[in-house]
Parts: sequence; C-alpha cells; structure tokens
Amino acid sequence: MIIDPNGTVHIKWGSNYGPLTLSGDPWRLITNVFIHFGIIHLAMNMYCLYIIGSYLEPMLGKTKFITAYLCTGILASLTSLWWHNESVNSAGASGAVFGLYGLFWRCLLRILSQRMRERPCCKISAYLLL
Amino acid sequence: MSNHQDAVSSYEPAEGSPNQYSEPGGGNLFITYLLIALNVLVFIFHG
Repeated sequence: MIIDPNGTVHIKWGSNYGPLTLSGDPWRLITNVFIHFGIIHLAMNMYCLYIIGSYLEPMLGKTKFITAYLCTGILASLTSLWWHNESVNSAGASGAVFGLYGLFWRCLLRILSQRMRERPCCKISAYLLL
Repeated sequence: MSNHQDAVSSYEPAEGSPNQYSEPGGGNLFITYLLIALNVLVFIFHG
C-alpha cells in the first residue's frame, strides 16, 4: 500500500474524486491536500514544502502562511476538477506547494521592484538577471 | 572607522519593512512542521 496506492482507500479518506466532489462532498477540495499516493509522492511534496516553508513562513508569518497554503490547495483542487473532464481521482499537496512557490516569486518581484525604485543601480542588475 | 562599524551594527530594519529578511530555516517554522506532521500522520493512518 505504501508503494502501490489503492484508489478506493484514498476516496474513503477524502481524495478529490470529481463525481463525489461535485455531488455533495465539497470538503474533498481541502481534504485531498493532505492525502498522498505512496511514500515517494509524500516525501517529495514534504521536502518541497519544507524548502519553501523555511523561506516563506518567516516572511509572511504563521496566519498568512497557513491561509496561503489552504487557499492555494483549494484553488489547485478546483483547477484539477475543471481541467479533467473525465472522473479523475486526485490528491496531494503538490498544488498547494506550487501555489506557495508562486507566492514566493511574487514576493521576490515586489522586493526587487522596491529596490529598483530606491537604488537605480539595482535596475541594471535586474535587467542582467532577467 | 569605528563610527562606521557602530552605524552598521546598530542598523535594524523597521517591522514589516521589505528590507527585513530572514535566513531560510532560521525563523520559527511552526506551521511548516505542523503541515508536514499532519500529512505524514494522515499517510500513516490511511495505510
């Protein structure tokens, strides 16, 4: 089970299975973020979460960080439902983690633009970077 | 020279300022650890 996932068990635990999510189980949009298909899926997602968390949580603070995680998780689940027309059983923190990386990128761009306004020499560095 | 060093060592960015950076992993990562623990626990229990 740890290596070879069983879809039925994941549906029971709250994975994002389109026909059920859209017919009275909207809570699956959030529960699926905490469910993983196998140990490698879990390990990779948790490693990425640790890396981005170690930058973003001190930057945003606890409340904003957990709110961002849950919001990006729900948005990713909704996107998955919209993208797949057929019944797909999806789960995992990947969407939430990718959302956090997007938020981190946005924070970096904001800092960079502020620096460019304060110090024109940063503009040259920014152009060179981009 | 010593004045210059004093000025540098006493510099602290204002609260909430974009210049207030944190070292990765150096801050309090309570929510990060909580989320990782929650994911691992769910994985252990659902088999």
